[in-house]
Amino acid sequence: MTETGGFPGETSEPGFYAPIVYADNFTFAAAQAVSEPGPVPATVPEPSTWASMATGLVLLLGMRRNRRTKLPADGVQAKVELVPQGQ
Amino acid sequence: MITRTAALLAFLASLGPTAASAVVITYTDETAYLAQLGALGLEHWSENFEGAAWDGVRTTVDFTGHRDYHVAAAVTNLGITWQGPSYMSPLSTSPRFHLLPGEDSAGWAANKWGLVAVTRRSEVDAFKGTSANTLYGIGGWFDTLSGYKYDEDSASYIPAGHMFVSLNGSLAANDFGAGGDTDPNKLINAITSNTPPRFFGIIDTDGFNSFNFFPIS
Repeated sequence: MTETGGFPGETSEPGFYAPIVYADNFTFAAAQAVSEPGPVPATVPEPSTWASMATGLVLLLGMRRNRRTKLPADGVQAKVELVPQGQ
Repeated sequence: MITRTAALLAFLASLGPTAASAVVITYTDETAYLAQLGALGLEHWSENFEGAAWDGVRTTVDFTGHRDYHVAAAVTNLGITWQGPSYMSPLSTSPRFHLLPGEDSAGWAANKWGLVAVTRRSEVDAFKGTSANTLYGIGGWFDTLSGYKYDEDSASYIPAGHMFVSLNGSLAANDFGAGGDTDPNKLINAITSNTPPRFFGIIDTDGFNSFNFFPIS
């Protein structure tokens, strides 16, 4: 016997009835808390990325600090000119 | 827990001295069902089959009427594992035909997916679920296209939905309404076609871990 769909005039996939009954908007009561779907996490950098960013920041600050306290190259004495006051 | 237990005991006491331990009540009015859950102090959750857990089981119909089936034997969401009628008949979701009471087209578009059973011949559509957490109430809205289902054996269309629900695998099905098989309270869809979805729910104060809604033609 040819299997036909549940809808008038429709032939469904072989071996299956097309759905005829639909169910929606269930409400259920439970004794214990049911795990709600968690919020979708915001896109945050992976820990390795945080580490890289922290390392970069330290290097950047270090470079700025070195630039402020830059010492003369070896063998070169810093030239200090004293300007007499009152001139 | 104490509050809920006290509420359950108060509810049982309100039913009088003849009330035994378990009270099972069926509902065809969602407002009354939700009010009773609230009176019992029970937390409740909604399952509308729209979430990502259901995205793998979306069956669609193109303009020619061809169905693109996406089915699964079971889907678990919010602590409940939903199954089709049998191991041979999987479940899926498909857009509902009718608006829920008070629903407009925008509301339908945001909540159009309904649970369907992709049944094989001689099997009834059924909507089954199991839960590790004890449930005290379950209810939902059921819809049919025409109110009729084609019966292979009689080669005719017959009314599609006298609803029953059984709990915990019991062979004793709970009925909706005291009338005969044509009692409109029992039917998903009135004999006249194109009526809106109808609500069927049940509360069992003893709790249950599985349910099976099944309309019989």
